[in-house]
Amino acid sequence: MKAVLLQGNEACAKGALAAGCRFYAGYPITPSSEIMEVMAREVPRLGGVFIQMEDESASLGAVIGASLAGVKSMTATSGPGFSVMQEHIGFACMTEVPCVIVDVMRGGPSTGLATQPSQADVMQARWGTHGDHPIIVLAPSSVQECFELTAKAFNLAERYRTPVIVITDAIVGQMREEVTLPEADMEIEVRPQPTVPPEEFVPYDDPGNCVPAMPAFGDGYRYHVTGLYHDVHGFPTTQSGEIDFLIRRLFSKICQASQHLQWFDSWYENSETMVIAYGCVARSALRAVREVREKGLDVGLTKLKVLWPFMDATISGVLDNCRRVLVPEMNFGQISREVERVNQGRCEILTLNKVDGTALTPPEIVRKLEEIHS
Amino acid sequence: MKSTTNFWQKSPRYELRIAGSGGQGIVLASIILAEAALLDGRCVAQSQNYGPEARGGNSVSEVVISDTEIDYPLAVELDLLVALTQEACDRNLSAIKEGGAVIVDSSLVTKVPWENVASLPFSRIAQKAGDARAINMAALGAVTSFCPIISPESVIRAMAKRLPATKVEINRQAFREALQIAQNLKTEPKTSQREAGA
Repeated sequence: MKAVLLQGNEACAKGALAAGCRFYAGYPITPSSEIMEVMAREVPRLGGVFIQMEDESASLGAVIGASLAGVKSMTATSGPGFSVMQEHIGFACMTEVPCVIVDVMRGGPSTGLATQPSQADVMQARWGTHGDHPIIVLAPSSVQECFELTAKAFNLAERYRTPVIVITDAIVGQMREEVTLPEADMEIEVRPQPTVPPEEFVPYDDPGNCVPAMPAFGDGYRYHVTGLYHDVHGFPTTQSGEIDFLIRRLFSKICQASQHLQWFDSWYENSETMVIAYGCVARSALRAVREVREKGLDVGLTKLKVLWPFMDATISGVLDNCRRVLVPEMNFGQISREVERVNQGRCEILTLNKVDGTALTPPEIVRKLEEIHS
Repeated sequence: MKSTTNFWQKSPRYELRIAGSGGQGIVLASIILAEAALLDGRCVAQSQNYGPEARGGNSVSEVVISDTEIDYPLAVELDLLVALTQEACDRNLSAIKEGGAVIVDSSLVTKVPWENVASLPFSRIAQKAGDARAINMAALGAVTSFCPIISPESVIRAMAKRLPATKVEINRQAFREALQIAQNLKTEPKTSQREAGA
Protein backbone atom coordinates (compact mmCIF):
# COMPACT_ATOMS: atom_id res chain seq x y z
CA MET A 1 0.00 0.00 0.00
CA LYS A 2 1.31 3.42 -0.96
CA ALA A 3 0.18 6.55 0.92
CA VAL A 4 0.21 9.84 -0.99
CA LEU A 5 -1.27 13.32 -0.71
CA LEU A 6 -3.85 13.62 -3.47
CA GLN A 7 -6.62 15.96 -4.46
CA GLY A 8 -10.13 14.51 -4.75
CA ASN A 9 -10.20 15.20 -8.49
CA GLU A 10 -6.75 13.65 -8.94
CA ALA A 11 -7.96 10.61 -7.00
CA CYS A 12 -10.98 10.24 -9.34
CA ALA A 13 -8.58 10.21 -12.30
CA LYS A 14 -6.23 7.71 -10.61
CA GLY A 15 -9.17 5.48 -9.69
CA ALA A 16 -10.32 5.52 -13.32
CA LEU A 17 -6.84 4.61 -14.58
CA ALA A 18 -6.51 1.82 -12.00
CA ALA A 19 -9.84 0.40 -13.20
CA GLY A 20 -8.55 0.30 -16.78
CA CYS A 21 -9.88 3.56 -18.28
CA ARG A 22 -7.94 4.27 -21.46
CA PHE A 23 -10.10 6.89 -23.20
CA TYR A 24 -11.00 10.35 -21.96
CA ALA A 25 -12.89 13.02 -23.85
CA GLY A 26 -13.90 16.20 -22.10
CA TYR A 27 -14.28 19.92 -21.95
CA PRO A 28 -12.65 21.59 -18.93
CA ILE A 29 -14.78 23.27 -16.27
CA THR A 30 -14.14 24.40 -12.70
CA PRO A 31 -14.23 22.69 -10.21
CA SER A 32 -13.61 19.47 -12.17
CA SER A 33 -10.70 20.45 -14.46
CA GLU A 34 -7.95 18.63 -12.52
CA ILE A 35 -9.52 15.30 -13.53
CA MET A 36 -9.02 16.25 -17.17
CA GLU A 37 -5.52 17.57 -16.44
CA VAL A 38 -4.39 14.24 -14.96
CA MET A 39 -6.05 12.25 -17.75
CA ALA A 40 -4.43 14.45 -20.44
CA ARG A 41 -1.05 13.60 -18.97
CA GLU A 42 -1.56 9.95 -18.04
CA VAL A 43 -3.91 8.35 -20.60
CA PRO A 44 -1.57 8.77 -23.63
CA ARG A 45 1.35 7.43 -21.55
CA LEU A 46 -0.64 4.24 -21.01
CA GLY A 47 -1.33 3.85 -24.71
CA GLY A 48 -4.82 5.33 -24.51
CA VAL A 49 -6.45 8.31 -26.19
CA PHE A 50 -7.24 11.74 -24.73
CA ILE A 51 -9.29 14.30 -26.67
CA GLN A 52 -10.34 17.80 -25.68
CA MET A 53 -13.71 18.15 -27.39
CA GLU A 54 -15.62 21.25 -28.46
CA ASP A 55 -18.27 20.85 -25.75
CA GLU A 56 -19.70 18.42 -23.22
CA SER A 57 -22.26 16.89 -25.56
CA ALA A 58 -19.53 15.93 -28.01
CA SER A 59 -17.38 14.74 -25.11
CA LEU A 60 -19.89 12.15 -23.96
CA GLY A 61 -20.59 11.25 -27.61
CA ALA A 62 -16.89 10.44 -28.09
CA VAL A 63 -16.86 8.48 -24.81
CA ILE A 64 -19.81 6.35 -25.98
CA GLY A 65 -18.12 5.73 -29.34
CA ALA A 66 -14.86 4.67 -27.69
CA SER A 67 -16.71 2.35 -25.33
CA LEU A 68 -18.56 0.72 -28.25
CA ALA A 69 -15.11 0.06 -29.71
CA GLY A 70 -14.24 -1.84 -26.52
CA VAL A 71 -12.27 0.74 -24.50
CA LYS A 72 -13.19 1.75 -20.95
CA SER A 73 -14.04 5.44 -21.23
CA MET A 74 -14.94 8.42 -19.11
CA THR A 75 -15.56 12.14 -18.96
CA ALA A 76 -15.86 14.66 -16.14
CA THR A 77 -17.65 17.97 -15.76
CA SER A 78 -19.59 20.25 -13.44
CA GLY A 79 -23.24 21.37 -13.42
CA PRO A 80 -23.35 23.48 -16.62
CA GLY A 81 -21.56 20.76 -18.60
CA PHE A 82 -23.61 18.04 -16.92
CA SER A 83 -26.74 19.72 -18.30
CA VAL A 84 -25.26 19.63 -21.80
CA MET A 85 -24.45 15.90 -21.42
CA GLN A 86 -27.96 14.80 -20.49
CA GLU A 87 -29.05 13.82 -24.00
CA HIS A 88 -26.14 11.43 -24.38
CA ILE A 89 -26.63 9.99 -20.89
CA GLY A 90 -30.05 8.84 -22.09
CA PHE A 91 -28.51 7.43 -25.26
CA ALA A 92 -25.96 5.45 -23.20
CA CYS A 93 -28.76 4.10 -20.97
CA MET A 94 -30.85 3.05 -23.96
CA THR A 95 -27.97 1.51 -25.93
CA GLU A 96 -26.41 0.02 -22.77
CA VAL A 97 -22.96 1.46 -23.33
CA PRO A 98 -20.70 1.30 -20.24
CA CYS A 99 -19.16 4.68 -19.35
CA VAL A 100 -18.35 6.81 -16.32
CA ILE A 101 -19.28 10.46 -15.87
CA VAL A 102 -17.95 12.49 -12.94
CA ASP A 103 -19.99 15.56 -11.94
CA VAL A 104 -18.16 17.83 -9.48
CA MET A 105 -21.10 19.89 -8.24
CA ARG A 106 -20.93 23.67 -8.05
CA GLY A 107 -23.66 26.22 -7.35
CA GLY A 108 -26.42 26.44 -9.96
CA PRO A 109 -28.73 26.86 -11.84
CA SER A 110 -26.98 27.98 -15.05
CA THR A 111 -23.33 29.01 -14.73
CA GLY A 112 -24.17 29.83 -11.10
CA LEU A 113 -21.11 29.71 -8.87
CA ALA A 114 -18.00 28.64 -10.77
CA THR A 115 -15.79 27.86 -7.80
CA GLN A 116 -18.18 27.17 -4.93
CA PRO A 117 -19.77 23.93 -3.74
CA SER A 118 -23.35 22.67 -3.79
CA GLN A 119 -25.25 19.37 -3.77
CA ALA A 120 -28.02 20.49 -6.06
CA ASP A 121 -27.41 18.07 -8.97
CA VAL A 122 -28.64 14.98 -7.09
CA MET A 123 -32.02 14.92 -8.84
CA GLN A 124 -30.47 15.94 -12.16
CA ALA A 125 -28.19 12.88 -11.92
CA ARG A 126 -31.33 10.77 -11.43
CA TRP A 127 -33.75 12.41 -13.84
CA GLY A 128 -31.74 14.86 -15.97
CA THR A 129 -32.21 12.91 -19.17
CA HIS A 130 -35.75 12.37 -20.40
CA GLY A 131 -37.77 9.20 -20.27
CA ASP A 132 -38.10 6.54 -17.61
CA HIS A 133 -34.60 5.19 -17.17
CA PRO A 134 -32.53 3.54 -14.44
CA ILE A 135 -29.15 4.97 -13.39
CA ILE A 136 -26.37 4.31 -10.88
CA VAL A 137 -24.94 7.30 -8.97
CA LEU A 138 -22.11 7.05 -6.42
CA ALA A 139 -21.17 9.83 -3.98
CA PRO A 140 -17.68 9.97 -2.40
CA SER A 141 -17.09 12.09 0.70
CA SER A 142 -13.32 11.75 1.01
CA VAL A 143 -10.34 11.69 -1.32
CA GLN A 144 -9.88 7.97 -0.58
CA GLU A 145 -13.49 7.37 -1.65
CA CYS A 146 -12.96 9.45 -4.81
CA PHE A 147 -10.35 6.86 -5.79
CA GLU A 148 -12.30 3.79 -4.68
CA LEU A 149 -15.76 4.75 -5.92
CA THR A 150 -14.54 5.94 -9.33
CA ALA A 151 -12.77 2.60 -9.77
CA LYS A 152 -15.93 0.79 -8.65
CA ALA A 153 -18.00 2.92 -11.03
CA PHE A 154 -16.08 1.37 -13.93
CA ASN A 155 -16.69 -2.14 -12.61
CA LEU A 156 -20.42 -1.45 -12.26
CA ALA A 157 -20.60 0.14 -15.72
CA GLU A 158 -19.00 -2.94 -17.24
CA ARG A 159 -20.96 -5.50 -15.21
CA TYR A 160 -24.35 -3.94 -15.92
CA ARG A 161 -23.62 -2.22 -19.27
CA THR A 162 -24.79 1.16 -18.05
CA PRO A 163 -23.54 4.70 -17.60
CA VAL A 164 -22.45 5.27 -13.99
CA ILE A 165 -22.28 8.76 -12.51
CA VAL A 166 -19.85 9.72 -9.75
CA ILE A 167 -21.15 12.84 -8.08
CA THR A 168 -18.80 14.92 -5.91
CA ASP A 169 -18.67 18.61 -5.05
CA ALA A 170 -16.25 21.53 -5.10
CA ILE A 171 -15.10 20.66 -1.56
CA VAL A 172 -14.51 16.92 -1.95
CA GLY A 173 -13.17 17.35 -5.50
CA GLN A 174 -10.66 20.05 -4.64
CA MET A 175 -9.43 19.11 -1.17
CA ARG A 176 -6.29 17.09 -0.57
CA GLU A 177 -5.98 14.20 1.84
CA GLU A 178 -3.82 11.16 2.36
CA VAL A 179 -4.81 8.33 0.07
CA THR A 180 -3.70 4.71 0.21
CA LEU A 181 -3.29 3.41 -3.32
CA PRO A 182 -3.37 -0.34 -3.87
CA GLU A 183 0.03 -1.58 -5.05
CA ALA A 184 -1.23 -4.77 -6.62
CA ASP A 185 -3.75 -4.66 -9.44
CA MET A 186 -7.25 -4.22 -8.14
CA GLU A 187 -10.21 -6.35 -9.05
CA ILE A 188 -11.26 -5.29 -12.54
CA GLU A 189 -14.45 -6.30 -14.32
CA VAL A 190 -15.04 -6.34 -18.06
CA ARG A 191 -18.27 -6.40 -20.04
CA PRO A 192 -19.75 -9.82 -20.84
CA GLN A 193 -18.54 -11.26 -24.17
CA PRO A 194 -20.51 -13.42 -26.65
CA THR A 195 -20.08 -17.19 -26.42
CA VAL A 196 -21.52 -17.81 -29.90
CA PRO A 197 -20.01 -17.18 -33.36
CA PRO A 198 -20.93 -13.86 -35.06
CA GLU A 199 -23.59 -15.40 -37.33
CA GLU A 200 -25.55 -16.68 -34.29
CA PHE A 201 -25.13 -13.48 -32.23
CA VAL A 202 -28.33 -11.72 -31.08
CA PRO A 203 -27.11 -8.44 -29.58
CA TYR A 204 -30.00 -7.47 -27.31
CA ASP A 205 -31.30 -10.83 -26.17
CA ASP A 206 -31.65 -11.42 -22.43
CA PRO A 207 -29.09 -14.05 -21.41
CA GLY A 208 -30.99 -14.59 -18.15
CA ASN A 209 -29.40 -11.86 -16.01
CA CYS A 210 -30.73 -8.98 -18.15
CA VAL A 211 -27.20 -7.99 -19.32
CA PRO A 212 -26.54 -8.93 -22.98
CA ALA A 213 -23.02 -9.69 -24.23
CA MET A 214 -21.17 -6.73 -25.71
CA PRO A 215 -18.52 -7.44 -28.35
CA ALA A 216 -16.39 -4.50 -29.47
CA PHE A 217 -16.84 -2.92 -32.88
CA GLY A 218 -14.16 -4.51 -35.01
CA ASP A 219 -14.39 -7.91 -33.32
CA GLY A 220 -16.42 -9.28 -36.21
CA TYR A 221 -19.77 -9.13 -34.44
CA ARG A 222 -21.84 -6.66 -36.48
CA TYR A 223 -24.87 -5.10 -34.85
CA HIS A 224 -27.03 -2.01 -35.00
CA VAL A 225 -27.01 0.64 -32.24
CA THR A 226 -29.91 3.07 -31.90
CA GLY A 227 -31.52 5.30 -29.29
CA LEU A 228 -34.91 4.26 -30.66
CA TYR A 229 -36.68 1.38 -28.97
CA HIS A 230 -35.16 -1.67 -30.61
CA ASP A 231 -35.80 -5.39 -30.94
CA VAL A 232 -33.33 -8.03 -29.82
CA HIS A 233 -31.45 -7.56 -33.10
CA GLY A 234 -30.91 -3.86 -32.41
CA PHE A 235 -33.31 -2.55 -35.09
CA PRO A 236 -36.00 0.05 -34.39
CA THR A 237 -39.39 -1.21 -33.29
CA THR A 238 -42.77 0.24 -32.33
CA GLN A 239 -44.29 -3.07 -31.25
CA SER A 240 -45.61 -2.87 -27.71
CA GLY A 241 -44.32 -6.31 -26.73
CA GLU A 242 -40.77 -5.47 -27.78
CA ILE A 243 -40.92 -2.00 -26.18
CA ASP A 244 -42.15 -3.49 -22.92
CA PHE A 245 -39.49 -6.24 -23.01
CA LEU A 246 -36.65 -3.71 -23.48
CA ILE A 247 -37.62 -1.13 -20.87
CA ARG A 248 -38.43 -3.81 -18.28
CA ARG A 249 -35.08 -5.50 -18.90
CA LEU A 250 -33.24 -2.15 -18.52
CA PHE A 251 -34.98 -1.55 -15.18
CA SER A 252 -34.56 -5.15 -13.99
CA LYS A 253 -30.82 -5.12 -14.43
CA ILE A 254 -30.34 -2.01 -12.27
CA CYS A 255 -32.97 -3.26 -9.82
CA GLN A 256 -30.93 -6.44 -9.40
CA ALA A 257 -27.80 -4.28 -9.01
CA SER A 258 -29.53 -2.39 -6.23
CA GLN A 259 -29.40 -5.40 -3.89
CA HIS A 260 -25.59 -5.28 -4.10
CA LEU A 261 -25.42 -1.50 -3.94
CA GLN A 262 -26.22 -0.90 -0.27
CA TRP A 263 -22.97 0.97 0.37
CA PHE A 264 -22.89 3.14 3.47
CA ASP A 265 -20.93 3.85 6.66
CA SER A 266 -22.53 4.18 10.06
CA TRP A 267 -21.52 5.73 13.35
CA TYR A 268 -23.51 5.14 16.56
CA GLU A 269 -26.26 3.12 14.90
CA ASN A 270 -29.71 2.91 16.52
CA SER A 271 -29.36 6.31 18.18
CA GLU A 272 -32.47 8.30 19.08
CA THR A 273 -31.69 10.75 16.27
CA MET A 274 -29.91 9.63 13.10
CA VAL A 275 -28.30 12.06 10.66
CA ILE A 276 -28.37 10.89 7.02
CA ALA A 277 -25.78 12.68 4.87
CA TYR A 278 -23.56 12.29 1.82
CA GLY A 279 -20.63 14.03 0.09
CA CYS A 280 -18.94 16.94 1.86
CA VAL A 281 -21.87 17.35 4.28
CA ALA A 282 -21.24 13.84 5.66
CA ARG A 283 -17.87 15.13 6.89
CA SER A 284 -19.47 18.10 8.67
CA ALA A 285 -22.14 15.79 10.08
CA LEU A 286 -19.59 13.37 11.55
CA ARG A 287 -17.82 16.24 13.37
CA ALA A 288 -21.19 17.54 14.60
CA VAL A 289 -22.35 14.10 15.79
CA ARG A 290 -19.14 13.60 17.77
CA GLU A 291 -19.51 17.03 19.36
CA VAL A 292 -23.14 16.61 20.44
CA ARG A 293 -22.46 13.11 21.80
CA GLU A 294 -19.87 14.68 24.11
CA LYS A 295 -22.72 16.84 25.39
CA GLY A 296 -24.78 13.71 26.03
CA LEU A 297 -27.13 13.76 23.03
CA ASP A 298 -28.02 10.36 21.54
CA VAL A 299 -27.21 11.02 17.87
CA GLY A 300 -25.70 8.84 15.14
CA LEU A 301 -24.83 9.12 11.46
CA THR A 302 -25.44 7.11 8.31
CA LYS A 303 -23.28 8.23 5.39
CA LEU A 304 -24.56 7.27 1.94
CA LYS A 305 -22.06 6.23 -0.75
CA VAL A 306 -24.73 5.29 -3.28
CA LEU A 307 -27.44 7.86 -4.10
CA TRP A 308 -29.16 6.03 -7.00
CA PRO A 309 -30.75 3.56 -7.09
CA PHE A 310 -31.83 4.90 -3.71
CA MET A 311 -30.90 2.51 -0.88
CA ASP A 312 -34.46 1.84 0.31
CA ALA A 313 -33.41 -1.26 2.29
CA THR A 314 -30.62 0.53 4.16
CA ILE A 315 -32.68 3.63 4.89
CA SER A 316 -35.62 1.50 6.00
CA GLY A 317 -33.32 -0.21 8.51
CA VAL A 318 -32.20 3.17 9.86
CA LEU A 319 -35.80 4.40 10.14
CA ASP A 320 -36.88 1.25 11.99
CA ASN A 321 -34.39 1.90 14.77
CA CYS A 322 -34.55 5.61 15.52
CA ARG A 323 -37.08 8.22 16.56
CA ARG A 324 -36.16 10.91 14.11
CA VAL A 325 -33.87 11.63 11.19
CA LEU A 326 -32.08 14.83 10.19
CA VAL A 327 -31.07 15.19 6.54
CA PRO A 328 -28.63 18.11 6.10
CA GLU A 329 -28.02 19.03 2.45
CA MET A 330 -26.53 21.84 0.40
CA ASN A 331 -29.73 22.19 -1.65
CA PHE A 332 -33.42 22.73 -0.86
CA GLY A 333 -33.95 19.05 -0.02
CA GLN A 334 -33.33 16.38 -2.66
CA ILE A 335 -32.32 13.24 -0.72
CA SER A 336 -34.59 14.22 2.19
CA ARG A 337 -37.63 13.66 -0.06
CA GLU A 338 -36.43 10.14 -0.84
CA VAL A 339 -36.03 9.51 2.89
CA GLU A 340 -39.61 10.79 3.35
CA ARG A 341 -40.80 8.39 0.64
CA VAL A 342 -39.19 5.39 2.33
CA ASN A 343 -40.30 6.56 5.79
CA GLN A 344 -44.05 6.33 5.28
CA GLY A 345 -44.77 8.08 8.57
CA ARG A 346 -42.51 5.93 10.77
CA CYS A 347 -40.23 8.71 12.07
CA GLU A 348 -40.03 12.46 12.22
CA ILE A 349 -37.95 13.69 9.24
CA LEU A 350 -36.18 17.01 9.66
CA THR A 351 -34.11 18.93 7.14
CA LEU A 352 -31.31 21.47 7.27
CA ASN A 353 -30.71 23.21 3.96
CA LYS A 354 -27.91 25.58 3.04
CA VAL A 355 -27.84 27.19 -0.38
CA ASP A 356 -25.43 30.17 -0.09
CA GLY A 357 -22.41 28.68 -1.86
CA THR A 358 -20.51 27.91 1.35
CA ALA A 359 -20.07 24.63 3.20
CA LEU A 360 -22.68 23.43 5.66
CA THR A 361 -20.50 23.58 8.79
CA PRO A 362 -20.35 21.37 11.92
CA PRO A 363 -21.48 24.26 14.22
CA GLU A 364 -24.59 24.74 12.05
CA ILE A 365 -25.48 21.04 12.33
CA VAL A 366 -24.69 21.06 16.06
CA ARG A 367 -27.08 23.99 16.57
CA LYS A 368 -29.84 22.16 14.71
CA LEU A 369 -29.30 18.93 16.69
CA GLU A 370 -29.33 20.85 19.99
CA GLU A 371 -32.52 22.61 18.95
CA ILE A 372 -34.12 19.23 18.11
CA HIS A 373 -33.12 17.75 21.48
CA SER A 374 -34.07 20.77 23.60
CA MET B 1 4.02 35.38 19.94
CA LYS B 2 2.70 32.76 22.34
CA SER B 3 4.11 29.28 22.26
CA THR B 4 1.69 26.43 21.72
CA THR B 5 3.87 23.49 22.74
CA ASN B 6 1.09 21.86 24.74
CA PHE B 7 -1.21 22.16 21.79
CA TRP B 8 -2.39 18.56 21.50
CA GLN B 9 -3.57 18.50 25.11
CA LYS B 10 -5.94 21.37 24.40
CA SER B 11 -7.43 20.46 21.03
CA PRO B 12 -7.27 17.54 18.64
CA ARG B 13 -6.90 19.80 15.59
CA TYR B 14 -4.58 22.55 14.42
CA GLU B 15 -6.27 24.82 11.88
CA LEU B 16 -4.38 27.17 9.64
CA ARG B 17 -5.51 29.49 6.84
CA ILE B 18 -3.37 31.27 4.27
CA ALA B 19 -5.17 34.20 2.65
CA GLY B 20 -4.14 36.58 -0.11
CA SER B 21 -4.91 37.33 -3.71
CA GLY B 22 -4.88 34.99 -6.72
CA GLY B 23 -1.35 34.52 -8.08
CA GLN B 24 0.46 34.83 -4.73
CA GLY B 25 0.90 31.07 -4.45
CA ILE B 26 -1.61 30.74 -1.62
CA VAL B 27 -2.77 27.27 -2.68
CA LEU B 28 0.72 25.95 -3.43
CA ALA B 29 1.93 27.07 0.02
CA SER B 30 -0.85 25.11 1.70
CA ILE B 31 -0.15 22.01 -0.41
CA ILE B 32 3.52 22.10 0.61
CA LEU B 33 2.53 22.55 4.25
CA ALA B 34 0.11 19.62 4.02
CA GLU B 35 2.77 17.47 2.38
CA ALA B 36 5.20 18.41 5.19
CA ALA B 37 2.68 17.50 7.88
CA LEU B 38 2.18 14.15 6.17
CA LEU B 39 5.96 13.58 6.14
CA ASP B 40 5.89 14.29 9.88
CA GLY B 41 3.39 11.47 10.27
CA ARG B 42 0.31 13.61 10.92
CA CYS B 43 -3.18 13.35 9.47
CA VAL B 44 -3.90 16.29 7.20
CA ALA B 45 -6.61 17.89 5.07
CA GLN B 46 -5.86 20.73 2.65
CA SER B 47 -8.56 22.77 0.95
CA GLN B 48 -8.85 25.87 -1.17
CA ASN B 49 -11.37 28.52 -2.03
CA TYR B 50 -10.89 31.16 -4.68
CA GLY B 51 -12.79 33.36 -7.06
CA PRO B 52 -13.15 32.76 -10.80
CA GLU B 53 -10.24 35.13 -11.62
CA ALA B 54 -6.85 33.72 -12.70
CA ARG B 55 -5.05 36.64 -11.01
CA GLY B 56 -6.30 38.92 -8.24
CA GLY B 57 -9.50 38.30 -6.32
CA ASN B 58 -9.56 36.67 -2.93
CA SER B 59 -7.72 33.41 -2.56
CA VAL B 60 -7.86 31.32 0.59
CA SER B 61 -6.37 27.95 1.39
CA GLU B 62 -6.55 25.92 4.57
CA VAL B 63 -4.62 23.12 6.23
CA VAL B 64 -6.08 21.11 9.10
CA ILE B 65 -3.52 18.97 10.95
CA SER B 66 -4.25 16.33 13.56
CA ASP B 67 -2.75 13.27 15.21
CA THR B 68 -6.02 11.43 14.64
CA GLU B 69 -8.40 10.96 11.69
CA ILE B 70 -9.79 14.28 10.43
CA ASP B 71 -13.58 14.17 10.18
CA TYR B 72 -14.32 17.73 9.02
CA PRO B 73 -11.68 18.83 6.49
CA LEU B 74 -12.25 22.61 6.63
CA ALA B 75 -11.24 25.07 9.35
CA VAL B 76 -13.84 26.03 11.95
CA GLU B 77 -11.77 28.28 14.25
CA LEU B 78 -8.28 29.22 13.13
CA ASP B 79 -5.22 28.63 15.28
CA LEU B 80 -3.16 30.58 12.78
CA LEU B 81 -3.96 33.02 9.98
CA VAL B 82 -1.39 34.06 7.39
CA ALA B 83 -2.50 37.18 5.50
CA LEU B 84 -0.62 38.45 2.45
CA THR B 85 -2.92 41.35 1.55
CA GLN B 86 -4.74 43.90 3.69
CA GLU B 87 -8.10 42.78 2.30
CA ALA B 88 -7.30 39.14 3.10
CA CYS B 89 -6.45 40.17 6.64
CA ASP B 90 -9.63 42.24 7.09
CA ARG B 91 -11.85 39.45 5.73
CA ASN B 92 -10.38 36.62 7.78
CA LEU B 93 -9.56 38.08 11.20
CA SER B 94 -12.99 37.13 12.54
CA ALA B 95 -12.28 33.43 11.87
CA ILE B 96 -9.39 33.25 14.36
CA LYS B 97 -10.08 31.64 17.70
CA GLU B 98 -9.33 33.29 21.01
CA GLY B 99 -5.59 33.07 21.61
CA GLY B 100 -4.94 32.35 17.92
CA ALA B 101 -2.21 34.12 15.99
CA VAL B 102 -1.76 36.15 12.81
CA ILE B 103 1.27 36.30 10.53
CA VAL B 104 1.30 39.12 7.95
CA ASP B 105 3.57 40.64 5.33
CA SER B 106 4.77 43.92 6.85
CA SER B 107 4.67 45.91 3.60
CA LEU B 108 1.34 44.57 2.28
CA VAL B 109 -0.61 44.44 5.55
CA THR B 110 -0.38 47.43 7.85
CA LYS B 111 -3.52 47.31 10.01
CA VAL B 112 -4.00 44.20 12.14
CA PRO B 113 -6.41 44.76 15.03
CA TRP B 114 -5.38 41.57 16.85
CA GLU B 115 -3.21 40.94 19.87
CA ASN B 116 -1.01 38.08 18.78
CA VAL B 117 0.62 39.28 15.55
CA ALA B 118 3.92 38.70 13.78
CA SER B 119 4.67 41.07 10.92
CA LEU B 120 7.57 40.06 8.68
CA PRO B 121 8.87 41.50 5.38
CA PHE B 122 8.13 38.43 3.23
CA SER B 123 8.11 40.37 -0.06
CA ARG B 124 11.56 41.77 0.63
CA ILE B 125 12.89 38.41 1.80
CA ALA B 126 11.62 36.81 -1.45
CA GLN B 127 13.14 39.54 -3.63
CA LYS B 128 16.46 39.19 -1.80
CA ALA B 129 16.40 35.44 -2.39
CA GLY B 130 16.03 36.12 -6.11
CA ASP B 131 12.33 35.85 -6.99
CA ALA B 132 9.42 37.98 -5.72
CA ARG B 133 7.16 34.98 -6.24
CA ALA B 134 8.89 33.17 -3.35
CA ILE B 135 6.76 35.29 -0.98
CA ASN B 136 4.63 32.22 -0.22
CA MET B 137 7.62 30.11 0.82
CA ALA B 138 8.95 32.98 2.93
CA ALA B 139 5.58 33.03 4.71
CA LEU B 140 5.93 29.28 5.32
CA GLY B 141 9.24 30.01 7.09
CA ALA B 142 7.37 32.08 9.66
CA VAL B 143 4.55 29.52 9.88
CA THR B 144 7.06 26.76 10.63
CA SER B 145 8.62 28.88 13.34
CA PHE B 146 5.33 29.58 15.11
CA CYS B 147 3.44 26.36 14.45
CA PRO B 148 4.60 23.74 16.95
CA ILE B 149 3.73 20.72 14.88
CA ILE B 150 5.52 21.19 11.56
CA SER B 151 9.25 20.59 11.22
CA PRO B 152 11.34 22.82 8.91
CA GLU B 153 13.09 19.73 7.51
CA SER B 154 9.80 18.30 6.29
CA VAL B 155 8.78 21.60 4.67
CA ILE B 156 12.08 21.66 2.79
CA ARG B 157 11.56 18.05 1.66
CA ALA B 158 8.00 18.89 0.59
CA MET B 159 9.27 21.90 -1.39
CA ALA B 160 11.62 19.64 -3.32
CA LYS B 161 8.64 17.38 -4.16
CA ARG B 162 6.25 20.10 -5.27
CA LEU B 163 8.37 22.89 -6.83
CA PRO B 164 10.13 22.89 -10.22
CA ALA B 165 13.76 21.80 -9.71
CA THR B 166 15.17 25.14 -10.93
CA LYS B 167 13.14 27.07 -8.36
CA VAL B 168 13.85 24.98 -5.28
CA GLU B 169 17.03 26.76 -4.15
CA ILE B 170 15.58 30.31 -4.33
CA ASN B 171 12.49 29.21 -2.43
CA ARG B 172 14.51 27.30 0.15
CA GLN B 173 16.58 30.43 0.76
CA ALA B 174 13.48 32.61 1.23
CA PHE B 175 12.03 29.98 3.58
CA ARG B 176 15.19 29.77 5.71
CA GLU B 177 15.64 33.55 5.91
CA ALA B 178 12.07 34.07 7.13
CA LEU B 179 12.38 31.15 9.56
CA GLN B 180 15.51 32.75 11.04
CA ILE B 181 13.91 36.20 11.40
CA ALA B 182 10.81 34.66 12.98
CA GLN B 183 12.86 32.68 15.46
CA ASN B 184 14.77 35.80 16.52
CA LEU B 185 11.43 37.54 16.94
CA LYS B 186 10.18 34.84 19.29
CA THR B 187 13.11 35.27 21.67
CA GLU B 188 12.60 39.04 21.96
CA PRO B 189 10.42 40.42 24.79
CA LYS B 190 6.69 40.38 24.04
CA THR B 191 4.92 43.45 22.73
CA SER B 192 1.43 43.66 21.34
CA GLN B 193 2.54 43.93 17.73
CA ARG B 194 5.96 43.34 16.31
CA GLU B 195 7.91 44.42 13.31
CA ALA B 196 10.93 42.42 12.37
CA GLY B 197 13.83 43.00 10.01
CA ALA B 198 12.28 46.28 8.79
